[in-house]
Amino acid sequence: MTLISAENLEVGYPVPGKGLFGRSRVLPIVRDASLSLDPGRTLGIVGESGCGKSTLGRGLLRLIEPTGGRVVWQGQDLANLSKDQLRKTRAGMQIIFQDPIAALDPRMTLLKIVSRPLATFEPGLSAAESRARALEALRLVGLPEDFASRYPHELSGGQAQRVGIARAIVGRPSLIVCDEPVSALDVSIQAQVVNLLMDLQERLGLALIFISHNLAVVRHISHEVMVMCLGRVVEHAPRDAFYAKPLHPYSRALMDAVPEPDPRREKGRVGTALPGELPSPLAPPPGCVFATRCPKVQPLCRTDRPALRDMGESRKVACHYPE
Amino acid sequence: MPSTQMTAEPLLSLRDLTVRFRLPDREVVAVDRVSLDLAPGEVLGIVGESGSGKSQILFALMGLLASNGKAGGQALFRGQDLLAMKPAELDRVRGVQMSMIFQDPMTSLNPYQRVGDQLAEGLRVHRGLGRSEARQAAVAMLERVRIPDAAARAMRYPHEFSGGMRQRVMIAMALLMKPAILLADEPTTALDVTIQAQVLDLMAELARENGTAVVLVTHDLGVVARLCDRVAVLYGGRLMEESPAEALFDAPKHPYSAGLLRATPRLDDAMTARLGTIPGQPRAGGMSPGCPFAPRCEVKLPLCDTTQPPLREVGPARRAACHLLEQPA
Repeated sequence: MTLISAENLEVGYPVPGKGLFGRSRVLPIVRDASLSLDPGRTLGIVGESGCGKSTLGRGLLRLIEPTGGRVVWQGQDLANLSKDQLRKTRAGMQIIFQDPIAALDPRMTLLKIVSRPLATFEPGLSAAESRARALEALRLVGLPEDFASRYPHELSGGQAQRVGIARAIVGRPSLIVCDEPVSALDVSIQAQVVNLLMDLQERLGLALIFISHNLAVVRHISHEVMVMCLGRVVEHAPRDAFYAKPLHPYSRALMDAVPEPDPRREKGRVGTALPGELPSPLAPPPGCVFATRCPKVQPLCRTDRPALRDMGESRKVACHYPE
Repeated sequence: MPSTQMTAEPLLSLRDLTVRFRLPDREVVAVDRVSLDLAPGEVLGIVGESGSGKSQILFALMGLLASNGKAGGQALFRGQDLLAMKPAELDRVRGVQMSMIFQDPMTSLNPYQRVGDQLAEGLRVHRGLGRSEARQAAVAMLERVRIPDAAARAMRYPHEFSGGMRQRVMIAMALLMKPAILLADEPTTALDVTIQAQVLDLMAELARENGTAVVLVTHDLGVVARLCDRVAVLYGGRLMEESPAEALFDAPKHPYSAGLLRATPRLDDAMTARLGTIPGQPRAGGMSPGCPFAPRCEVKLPLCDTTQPPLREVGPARRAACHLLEQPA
C-alpha cells in the first residue's frame, strides 16, 4: 500500500504585495509535483539551489502549508485533518536537517532532546518508558549510553546528526524526510550516516525521502530518483535506469558536472562545463525551465512548457526532446 | 627535508611549517611540521577533513592567521622566507605575486564598493596605473573570467552578482596582478555543481595560460581529480601522503587516503550494499605522540599509538607516513 502520495502539489511562500498596502500574495516555489512512495522505500530528490527540493519536502509534511494539490498519507488527505489529528499523524512522519547542531536545543541533554517528541506523540507513556525509548533510539543510531546525559555542544557534526536521527525515530515513524542530512559532514562521516540510514531503513521498515544536491550519495541510498529544476519535477525514474541513462538534458548536465575521484577521466572533462547561470526561481522562464541553458534547446522549448510524461518502465520526463 | 624530485627550482617550499593556536587552557597544533614543494605552474591539491589544518597552511602563507595563532618553520617563496618577512616586504608579495581566493566570495568582497573599483584599486596601488587605465584593465579581466556584459557589471555592487559570478570576480581580482601562485581555499564548495564545473574550468584555463601555480585546498576528491597534478593528504595537521594525482587515485598508499577514497561515493562504481567508512570522528591533531590517524585506523600496529611514522619515499615522487609501509611485504 502506498504510504504517502502527492498530487499536483504546489508549495509557496507569501511575498509582500506591491506598494505599502498591497495585498500579500503567495509565490509558488514548487509547482505541480506528484509522487508516491511505498513503505520501506527511498525516493531521492536532487537539484541545485532554488529548485524547490527542500520546500517540497516541507510541503509534504505540511510544515509549510501547500497552496495547491493534495498530499495523501496512508489513504487520508492531510489537508482534511484537524490540528489535533495532524499532530498524531506527524508521529509517523519525521524530518532531519542539514545543520545537525543548529537543530538541537543547546540547553537540553540528549536524553531530553530525544525523548521530547514522545510527550507529544505518546503522552500516556510514563517517564521510565520514555527514557527507555529514548535510550533505545540512541542505541539504534550507534551512540553509547553515556551520551544520554551530554549536551549538543559536546558533539561533533556526525554525532549531532545521529542524535537528530534518534529524535526522528523515537516515535516509530514510517517516513523520514532527510533534508540534505550529510551535506555539512566530512566525507568519512557522511558515509557513516548514509549507512546508518540504510541500516535503520532495513531494521525499522522506514520509507525515506532523501533530499540532496549530491547525485552520488543519492545513487547509493535511493530506490528511485526525482530531479527538480526551478520548482518543477523534470525527471522521475527508478535508480538504476536513471543513472545508466538520464532522459532529461538537465539530468545529464548535472551528472556530467559532478567531478569524480578519477583524474584520468576528469582531466578529459575540463572545458565541458555547461555555460550560463541558473535563472531566478522567482522568475522562471516561460517555456521549459531548463531552456535558457539547455544544449539541445529548440524554439518550442522556449515557448511551451513540456509536461511530465510517461516514458514506460516507470520513467517520466518533462522534455520535448528527451535523450 | 622532502625528497620529492623536482626538475625546476620550487617556487614555494614549506619546511616543517607548523601552526599553533594558543587557547585559554592549552595550545593546539593545527599544522605539524609539514614540508611541501610547489613547482612553477603546478597545481597542488591539499585534501583533508575538518581539523586537518589544510586551510591554516594557506592562512599562514598569507599572514592571515587568527591573532592567537603563530606559524613556525619556513615558507620559502623564491628562496625568501615569508614567515620572517617584515609587513612591508610581505605586502610586496601578498596580493601581487601570491593571491588567495576563499570559499565564500561574498565575505571577501567589499559590499560598499563597485566591483570594478575593487579590481582597479589593486592595479592603482601596486602597478601605479591611472584611474581610467586601471578601470579598463579591470573590465578586461572581468571579460576574461566571462562575466557577461563586463563593462556594465563593473559598475555594480557584489550583492548584485550570483554566487558563481562573485567567485569569478574573486578569481579575476586574484589574477589581475598575474601572480606566480594562486592559493584557493575551498573555492567551489559553496557553489552549485554546474556552476562549480564552470569555475573549475576557468581556474584550469587561467592557470595554464598564465603559468600560475595553484594550491587548491579542498575536501572534495573529485575536485582534486579534475584540477590537480599532485596531491597532499593531511590528517590532524600532519602530512599523511603526497603523490602525483593519478598514482594516488589508482593506488593510495596510506590507510587514511585509502579510507577517504572508499568513503567517497561515485556515479560509476559498482555499488556495494554499504559505503566504505572510516570509524570515529576527525580530530584536530598534534595531541598524540603517535600517528594522528591511529585512533581511527583499522590496520594500526601497537607502534602507531606511540611513535609518529616518518614520511618516506614509497614510489616515484611519492611519500607517505605510515609504519605499515615500513614492514616487509
